[in-house]
Amino acid sequence: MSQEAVARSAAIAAKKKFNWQLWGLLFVLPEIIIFLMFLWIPIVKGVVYSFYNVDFVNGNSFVGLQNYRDVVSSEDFWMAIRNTLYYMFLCVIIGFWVPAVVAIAVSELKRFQGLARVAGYLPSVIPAIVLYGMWVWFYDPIGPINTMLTSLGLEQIDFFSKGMSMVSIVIMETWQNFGGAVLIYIAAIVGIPKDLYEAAEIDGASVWQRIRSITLPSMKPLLILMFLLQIINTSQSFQAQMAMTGGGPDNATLTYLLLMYREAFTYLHFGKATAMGSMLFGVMVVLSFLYLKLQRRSETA
Amino acid sequence: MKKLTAIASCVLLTSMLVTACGSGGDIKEPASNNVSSSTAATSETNTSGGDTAAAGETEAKQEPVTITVQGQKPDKKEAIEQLNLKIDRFKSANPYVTIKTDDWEYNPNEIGIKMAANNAPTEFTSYLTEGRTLAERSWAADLTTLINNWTHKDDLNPIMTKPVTVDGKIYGVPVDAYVMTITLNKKIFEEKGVPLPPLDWTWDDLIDAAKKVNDPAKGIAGFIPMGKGNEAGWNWTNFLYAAGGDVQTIADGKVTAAFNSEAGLKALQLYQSLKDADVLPKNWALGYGDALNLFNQGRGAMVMCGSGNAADAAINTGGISKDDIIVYPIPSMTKGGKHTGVLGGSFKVINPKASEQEQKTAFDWITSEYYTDDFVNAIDSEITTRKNENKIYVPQTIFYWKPESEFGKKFTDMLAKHDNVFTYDPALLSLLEGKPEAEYEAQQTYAEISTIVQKVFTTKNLDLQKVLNDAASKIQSEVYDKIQIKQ
Repeated sequence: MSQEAVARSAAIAAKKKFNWQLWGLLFVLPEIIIFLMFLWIPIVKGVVYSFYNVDFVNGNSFVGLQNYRDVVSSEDFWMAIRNTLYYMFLCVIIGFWVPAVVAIAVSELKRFQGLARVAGYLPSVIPAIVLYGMWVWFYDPIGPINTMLTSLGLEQIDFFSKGMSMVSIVIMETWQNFGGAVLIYIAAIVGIPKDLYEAAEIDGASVWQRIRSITLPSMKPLLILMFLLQIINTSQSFQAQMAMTGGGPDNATLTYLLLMYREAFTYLHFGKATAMGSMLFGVMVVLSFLYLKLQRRSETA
Repeated sequence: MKKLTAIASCVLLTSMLVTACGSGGDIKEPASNNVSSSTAATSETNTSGGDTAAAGETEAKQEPVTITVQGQKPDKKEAIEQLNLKIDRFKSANPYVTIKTDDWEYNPNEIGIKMAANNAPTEFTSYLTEGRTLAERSWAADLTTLINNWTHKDDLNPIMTKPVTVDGKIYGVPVDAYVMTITLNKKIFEEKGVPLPPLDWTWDDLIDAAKKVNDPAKGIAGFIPMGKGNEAGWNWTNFLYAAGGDVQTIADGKVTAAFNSEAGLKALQLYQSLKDADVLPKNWALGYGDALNLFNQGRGAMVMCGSGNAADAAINTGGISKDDIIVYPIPSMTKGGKHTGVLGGSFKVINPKASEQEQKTAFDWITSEYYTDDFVNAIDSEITTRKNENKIYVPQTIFYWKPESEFGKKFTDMLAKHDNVFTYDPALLSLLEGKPEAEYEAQQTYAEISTIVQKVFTTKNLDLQKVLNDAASKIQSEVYDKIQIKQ
């Protein structure tokens, strides 16, 4: 009798649990469908296409690893990888520390903090196409920067020369993008317990000591996270290069994604482009795992 | 029990949501069916009425058919007005046809997506230079039979049918064409007190004129070549052609790079001397639009573009007076030499994914007013409308008709009536010599040549012949050697 009751209650519990799971499943279903349609199926299709000669009208034909062989044997491919790595390096050297420094400086401000935050974020509001037009003018031989240099009796800078063009693009992108990162850093700084600072002040710590011993250590996990995110983002850069230099001069700003774009939409070699995409996807997956691992480690630390 | 109904209704809701998502693309279907069935009704009454335009046609043609035709961007009001009138005329002659317009403008970077997504219009205007690309990828319908059955097939201008003929088949209906030219801003020449060079000028005349009008302090460049993107290669190819060179040669089923020839070296030396003379804009990164903008702003005295295109932009966008603009041919390498430039233009393409009936209707739509007074009158009234808006009409230099034909004369007479039509020097037309673009992998070849051009613009002390040879051997091994020519 009692056994039966236990069994029945167990059955009811199981049914309840099942109902709950069904409910949950139903709620995620739309997301699953949308992700499937716009993300996972395209990714899988992209990988599959990389083994085919893509022809929308007459049907695709399987070519094995031919696309990969063609891509790897092209000079531009290696050039694009070098350029992308150089670009990522420049973004770290020129761009990575700026938002952190600005965030700390803003949080140390006694007055006008709100104004400073808004001013920092403003460049991000400018639409990309306006931004490129604006900076092409800034960098123009008769534009404001060079006019200022000449009036100071200095040498003009050729911003789009082979050596300078990538640096010029990184400066522009840093200017545009640092606002968003500043807000994230400020949020982190605000989250640091106030009593730590108060204790430090009572102990007579200077501003610099406060920053070094309290602010920076508290921001460390976030800095690592932002660094990895930046690496992931910058490895996929091509917008500015396409709009401002078209990958030139002499392929000096030809990034991996720009080459991929060209293969697909200018040369119409969709198979080769998807092969490049699949390779990039592989690298991204590795980076993402690294990111997850680092994040977990910083959590346990 | 309550729970069960809740779950059931939830399932129902989700499935409705999903089906709504899934059929998003088909929603239009019933609506268009309605439209066509209503037109079908009209066509039936018409045929029972006896003689209509459709009566003489075959049985299959009276089925209702919907085609999407090349539209115009919303800012081109005069052209839209004429297009709508043409649609009305076509519909009254062919009542079973429903016509929709699509204002997508052909772009080599977008056509792949359009074809993959299967939403290219039934007919669209493409660049003359895209003939082989479209044909080889089966993105243009084979019109050989339709053209051969067309009454005007022998009236077409042979210069224009050649680029759309690929491996003996015709893939498009020619519209108009141009040969690359150099457009000069007369005002800058006058302000500097520099006399205009002779119309049959040479490379030396070009360098000489550019040096004299150049004014870096004011930011005025003597000559604006395009340097960014594939346009850089396209611009330079004109000088390669003028020097008698070729981009590639085709023999024994093999494509061979030929731009590293003697002529190629000469053309690159010309760019080098323009660079050394410091007559080019400081910023090399100028695409098509950037170069034309500089010219429109009066920041350059000369720009290279397809015959009237730079003039059109300078006058109607830049606000430069039409009397201050003059069009020159590509200069010849030596005095008395040929003024060869790249041949470009536009032609009508029919979507191969359309049904046979739609293709036939689209062909009828494209050619319905070819060689008729309606065609001339439409442009006539477009020019009149433009006059009221203080806009200038800039005609092309080559058309689908033969220039010496009766119809050609009619068109020229119509243009002569108006004072808001840009006129070319009559001597110019006889100097222009058009040469089609490279047939195989033109875009990738241009990309390679663009890097050469950019090297010249940004690097000092180059070994030009070596640069050319390196690029030629690279494109040879990476691209040309893999091309299989259909015999």
